Amino acid sequence: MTDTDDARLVALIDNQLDETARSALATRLVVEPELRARFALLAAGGLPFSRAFDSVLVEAPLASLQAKIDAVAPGGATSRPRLGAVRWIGVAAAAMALLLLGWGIGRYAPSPSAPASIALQDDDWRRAVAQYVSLYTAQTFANDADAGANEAALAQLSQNLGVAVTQASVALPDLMLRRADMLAYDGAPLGQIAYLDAGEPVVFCIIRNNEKDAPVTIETRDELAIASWAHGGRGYLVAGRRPAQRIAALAETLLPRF
Amino acid sequence: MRALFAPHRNKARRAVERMASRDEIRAGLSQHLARLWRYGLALSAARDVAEDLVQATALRALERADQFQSGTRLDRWLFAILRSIWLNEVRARRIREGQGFVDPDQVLFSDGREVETNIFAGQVLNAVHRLPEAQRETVLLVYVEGLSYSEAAELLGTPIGTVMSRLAAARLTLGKLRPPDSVAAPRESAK
Repeated sequence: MTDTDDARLVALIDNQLDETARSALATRLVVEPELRARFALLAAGGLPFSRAFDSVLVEAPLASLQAKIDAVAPGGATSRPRLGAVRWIGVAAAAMALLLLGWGIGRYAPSPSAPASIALQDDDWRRAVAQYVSLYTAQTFANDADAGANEAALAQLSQNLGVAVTQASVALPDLMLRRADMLAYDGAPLGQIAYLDAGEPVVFCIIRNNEKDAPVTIETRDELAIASWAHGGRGYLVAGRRPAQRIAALAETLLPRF
Repeated sequence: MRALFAPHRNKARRAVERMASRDEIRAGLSQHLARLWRYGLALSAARDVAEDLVQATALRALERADQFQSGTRLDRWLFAILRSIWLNEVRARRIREGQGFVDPDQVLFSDGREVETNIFAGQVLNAVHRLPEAQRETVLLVYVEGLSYSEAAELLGTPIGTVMSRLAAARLTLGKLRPPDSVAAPRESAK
């Protein structure tokens, strides 16, 4: 384990590796348990940064800032700001100001001019799922019983996701249900049901992340077909290395059940 | 004859271009005010300093309007100006005056216990605030502002590897803070 490994793992999580580096690291992840543990540790450090910092945006003193900018003459030549004597009002005063700022968090809806990063953030979990699902092979779930998902695991999913996840609600014709897991992305609970469809892994994921309702969209990334939609504050995704029409049909089957 | 008048025409054209680009920059400043202030706040951890940084950035940007290349990202250009003012003028002076770096134990953001829905947001802000400045800034640029590693490296003037190792270090620190039951971490409850 090296610092370089850490850096590469972070780049994998952030989807910033080129294809060669990505597949080399993916191969190592399969055979090196220590590297997998490190990956999990680094992934756990992915907090909902964007959401948290959006609550700071709405606290910006826009009127005061705009007035200061308006005071700068057209040529930018006059009304030099007071940086010559930056006011340092002391740690206590600054802390107080920011404490008030902290209290403001949550009282406001996200700013109407909220940055595009919110959409990117919501999209990130799909990217992350697509990334690890692309590491699955026909053997990945070979050791899991074919008896369907464990009842206790489904109950845990239902509880964390706030939606009924049952054998019936996740059953798909012709697919073998292999296992159910509780994961998390960016602090949001993410449930995953894994199936085998003609021997290929297919996953159905539900995340409780308050994203806006969205109709089903289908896309293909690196041979992986992904159908995703959102409803009732939850994001849904079906993905697998299967034809896009097949994944779309599975999504259409699951959609009305949630 | 043409040679005689051409310099005047060029001068007039440059003046018109300069005005156009100042208008563009002024509009861009207004559009990105909140994000510039947030960046200033992440760097300085003080609201008033953040405000001064935005004003100084506006002045510098308008003075150097002709250096902005139309068609490139104005927000990135403004971020680079704000950062340079922070590093070369404000932060340097604060260190000289013994005000140094931000006190890592200082709690900047309320845990928001009064606001149940957003307890976690406050915790995230505080945790990020306690990171070393270089890591805190890199986290903001990549994970909040959405810069790619190479864009962040260019703005920070560091190799991409440094961006990656800062993010790795930040994630290792923050990962340890995540409560064991974070799967059910308080978030805005789904309706």
